[in-house]
Amino acid sequence: MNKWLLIFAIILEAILIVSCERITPKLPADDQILDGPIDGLSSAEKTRFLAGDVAFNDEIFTRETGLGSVSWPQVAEAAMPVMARGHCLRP
Amino acid sequence: MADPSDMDKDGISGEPSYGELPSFLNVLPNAIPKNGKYIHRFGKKAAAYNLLHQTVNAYSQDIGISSAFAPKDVYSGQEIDPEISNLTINNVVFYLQTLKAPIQRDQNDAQIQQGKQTFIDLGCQGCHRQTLKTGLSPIDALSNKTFHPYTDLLLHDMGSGLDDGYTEGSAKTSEWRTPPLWGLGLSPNSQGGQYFLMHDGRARSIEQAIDMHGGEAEGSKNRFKKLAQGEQADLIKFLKSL
Repeated sequence: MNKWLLIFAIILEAILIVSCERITPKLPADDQILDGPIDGLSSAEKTRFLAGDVAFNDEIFTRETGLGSVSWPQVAEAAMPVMARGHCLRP
Repeated sequence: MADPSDMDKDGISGEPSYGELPSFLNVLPNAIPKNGKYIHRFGKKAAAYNLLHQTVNAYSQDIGISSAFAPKDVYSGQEIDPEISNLTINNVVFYLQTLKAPIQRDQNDAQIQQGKQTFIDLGCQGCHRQTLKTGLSPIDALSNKTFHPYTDLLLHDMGSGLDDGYTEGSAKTSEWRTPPLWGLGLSPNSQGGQYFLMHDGRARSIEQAIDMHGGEAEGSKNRFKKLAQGEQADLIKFLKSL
């Protein structure tokens, strides 16, 4: 009984090892990392890097949060004579 | 590196872009003014002094986000409440300053090494300078570091084919700041597998981009055209490794 349990445990462990290798990707080589900070930053600097990373890559601006000109309709109207015809599409 | 009157007679006469500083920028230590203007190095025509200048302009002019640094709406000229905080802008600047640069791949590949030698022989390094060194920086990790951007950060006349009709800072209509080549081979990864090269993305391959070089780069382009096909392939492989 113990022998079968041991064999089962070994097989299970082998399956887990293989699975982990498949699930966990290999660490990328140094020349493949493009979104990390330079070496040698202090921990405070790394925190600041992350804050900048989030602001640069994750912040999505909308018209309500400031995207575009605040006076877009006026700009469009000003452009109308130049366009000679057509209609200003108000937001 | 600057050689405005081409004293060395190599046909390349790079010159720095000088501009006035907006009030929110501090002059860097050791910066030497010329008629009240300072060397600018950022942007396609080098119209920005540093990354804070570049970032503030990008928020304001490219996407219309006002800040305390640039409170005016770019279209109306009206001063409006900041739509982004100074802290956020400074964090973004720090992120851009300390983001890891692309590292060349397969440096020991024989074809790539040959291509690099061809790059030097053609005179491409006259503008696309391989190695620069930083000065003192408030960020220790950036002080006195050697890096490999493949640019001289100077303005060069690129000929009538690349004349966009616009001046910016001290750059004339056909002058462009040498674009860094680091990351060139990786750029299609974030552009749907395509190259969009030159200032407006008109070149869809490295070969096309080389062919569009004129003005001070005319000689290098012509020497490239005279290379054997294999030598051209070596050079392209080298450029793609950057």
